[in-house]
Amino acid sequence: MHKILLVEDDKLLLKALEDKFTQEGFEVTTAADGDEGVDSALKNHPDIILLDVLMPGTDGITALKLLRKDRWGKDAQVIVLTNLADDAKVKEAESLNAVGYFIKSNWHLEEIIKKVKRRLNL
Amino acid sequence: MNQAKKGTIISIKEIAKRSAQVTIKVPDDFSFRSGQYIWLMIPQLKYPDVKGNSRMFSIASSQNQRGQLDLIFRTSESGYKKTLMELTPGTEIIFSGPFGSLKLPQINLTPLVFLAGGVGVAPFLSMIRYSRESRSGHDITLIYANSGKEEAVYLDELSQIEKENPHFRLVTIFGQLEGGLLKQLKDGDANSKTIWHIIGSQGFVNSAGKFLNDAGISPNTIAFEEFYPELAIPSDFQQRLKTSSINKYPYFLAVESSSNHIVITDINGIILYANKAAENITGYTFEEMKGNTPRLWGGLMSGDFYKGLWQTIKYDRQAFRAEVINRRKNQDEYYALIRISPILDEQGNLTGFVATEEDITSLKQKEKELENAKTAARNVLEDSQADKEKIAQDKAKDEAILKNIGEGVLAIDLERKILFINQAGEDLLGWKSADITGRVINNLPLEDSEGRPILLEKRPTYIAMKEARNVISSDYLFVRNDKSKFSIYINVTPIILNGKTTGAIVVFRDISKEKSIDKAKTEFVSLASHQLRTPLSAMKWFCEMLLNGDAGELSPEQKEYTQNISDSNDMIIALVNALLNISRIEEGRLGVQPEPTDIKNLVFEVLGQLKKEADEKKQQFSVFINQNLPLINIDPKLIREVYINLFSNAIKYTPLGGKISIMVSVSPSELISRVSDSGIGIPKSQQGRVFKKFFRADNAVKLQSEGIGLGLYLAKAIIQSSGGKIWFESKENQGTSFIFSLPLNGSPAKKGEVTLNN
Repeated sequence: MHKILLVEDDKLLLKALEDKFTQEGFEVTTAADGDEGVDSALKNHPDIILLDVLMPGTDGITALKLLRKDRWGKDAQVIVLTNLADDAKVKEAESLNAVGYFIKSNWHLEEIIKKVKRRLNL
Repeated sequence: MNQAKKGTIISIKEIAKRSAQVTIKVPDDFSFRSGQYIWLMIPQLKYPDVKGNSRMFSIASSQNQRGQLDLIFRTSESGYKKTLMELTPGTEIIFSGPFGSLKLPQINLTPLVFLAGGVGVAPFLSMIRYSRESRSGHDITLIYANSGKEEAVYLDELSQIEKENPHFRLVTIFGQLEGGLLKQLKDGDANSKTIWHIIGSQGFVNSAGKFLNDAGISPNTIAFEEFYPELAIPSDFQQRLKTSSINKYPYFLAVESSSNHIVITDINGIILYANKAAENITGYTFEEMKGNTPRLWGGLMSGDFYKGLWQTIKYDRQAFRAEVINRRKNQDEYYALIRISPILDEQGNLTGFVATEEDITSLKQKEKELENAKTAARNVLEDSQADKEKIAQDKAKDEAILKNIGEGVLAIDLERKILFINQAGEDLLGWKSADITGRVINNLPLEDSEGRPILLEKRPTYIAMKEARNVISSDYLFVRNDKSKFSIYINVTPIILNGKTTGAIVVFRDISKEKSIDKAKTEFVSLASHQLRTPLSAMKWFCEMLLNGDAGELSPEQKEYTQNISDSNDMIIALVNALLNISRIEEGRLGVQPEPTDIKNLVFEVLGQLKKEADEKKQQFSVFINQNLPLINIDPKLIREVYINLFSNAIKYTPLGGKISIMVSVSPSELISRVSDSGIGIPKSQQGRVFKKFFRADNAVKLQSEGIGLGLYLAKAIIQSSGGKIWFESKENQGTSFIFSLPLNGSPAKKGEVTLNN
């Protein structure tokens, strides 16, 4: 079973993602802010991380920077899933080796699932 | 030359109001120069005339005409003229001459202006005719003054010559000579080298001469020829002088050999005798002088001068003395001291004049040089004084301006050392003028937004001076002495003298507030869109899951309602995206990143995306794309958006089974895309608003109530940013075509902070 970490502060969105990925057969862990996310990632070494950007406390990009400092973390697969459309942030995410940057409201859950599966060669 | 010759009248006729022309047959060997005159003697006067039977007439014919002469004259009630008018063809007359000093200069480089009053035009006419025939190339302007058109003789011929000869210009005046006339001429043909000739009655010559003088024309360049007062047959004195021999009058030997120029004239100034010295000084031989007056080498002074001269010698019978400027035969000008004394016979009657001249040119030259030197010295002194004052004034003005400018201004020299800083600059940078002048500006700390110091090669002043161009920067922060920082706007203009950069002026100001406002605006828009999208995403996904049956199978009705919620939700999401894009476009923050793009692929991609909707409506798509479309440098994300927009509009507003086509072609400089449909069209009355924000035509709203009305606004903004144009053709109920062009050269790249939201 593949492990997926969902880092998202909005409860509703988190629930939708969690439910869907569980349904698809993933082992799902969640975090509601950047720090929690990094901790969880380093603890559980998920196969893929869906990372929100705008969160209270530590935001997604900062969390990604921290993650990349870790020996395991530097190679972790991270997809940035956010509603913030900001070229600067996209560039930052790219420079931190995020493998995707998607606007939530523009994508169906189904399509997100497909992307994740493709990343994991499923 | 002065010998009397026989001639025959060929014709006499009136050619204008108060003017008549007489044509006389003359011997074939009679030659003359254009501009000269003859004395015409009628052997037997029918009507008595106290002034005698001979008069002077200017020759109106060109010197190339042989065997016949035209003369023109003002008709009058004098016995002579009345007789003349009644002469029949074939009548013999006697004439002598030719006389006269006016002539066309040898070289045709100096422009000539002829001022003619009435029949004074005759000698000018002969000169003009001759110039035309011989293609002499002289630049001639004839100002022909008359009291009325009916009085102007030969006007037609002169106008014709003007048409044919680019070197000849005719100006006719009916009335007074006005200043405006001269201005016209001065700007055109007349310059300081122009030679002016005036011919006419004494009154005309005087007033014309005065007119020119008043206008600043140098007397050196003006030559007069007055109509001579009617002259009687040669006086006794003249005869005596002519027939005398040197032996009979021994004093003449003395006169002959004198080293002073001596000329003897009759009471009208006609030269009867000139000695060797006179020939030497003037350059004319006695033979050439005979029949002329000393005006031959004179006439350069003002009309008033000659008036005064005549007044003195003829009427006051006093000796006249003056310094004049004369002109030798070779056109050299010289200064002369002239003395003219009247000659009185035993009865005290005036019989002639004797004139002496002394060449004082070198003396005058020395005087002039001295005067020039004095003037030059004076001018230099005044100039430097004026300069000093101006500099002082300018300095004061500049200081006042700089003091009051709110922006910081400083100047740097060749080595980028600070030469000067204004008050505002001191305050902004936190440096006192005394402490900062002399420092190299690049040593002052400048950072980027991350706190990293800016390298020398990237410093605005360095770049501006190295590349000799204006540089503007608003991305850096200046660090004051107290370590506080502020966002600084810098504008550097290099000072270039004779192609070399010698320094620069730097204008700067604090833009912290502007930057923070910008930041806040950006953050607000981002935040607003983010906050809106979050709940929308939630709705989207939960609807999706419901429809998917993840929470249990839905009844058809439940499915339908949920689908409706999802559709409405999608529309709000689209609206938020569109608003975000608009805000970016309007703020100029939309970036354009051109890359070589295959338009054909792009079009097919979009078509693929929209195929489902088109198929549902059973619409037929036709694609006409030029096989040899070149790759074009455009931003594919942006142009894709345009195609999506145009295609989905076409699909939306075309009924079931309708036709939609896409045509892409190339013109010499553009790539043209045309999306046509057979849909509802755009009502003519609303066509003007099609590209406006939120606009949807009435018939579009009727067909499909949902829609935001931002698609075309966005498409237009994108096309314009890409360097192209977009327009449409539409007829209601028939269909619409949207056409847009993109430059084949490619879109200009634009650094933007954001990209489009899809």
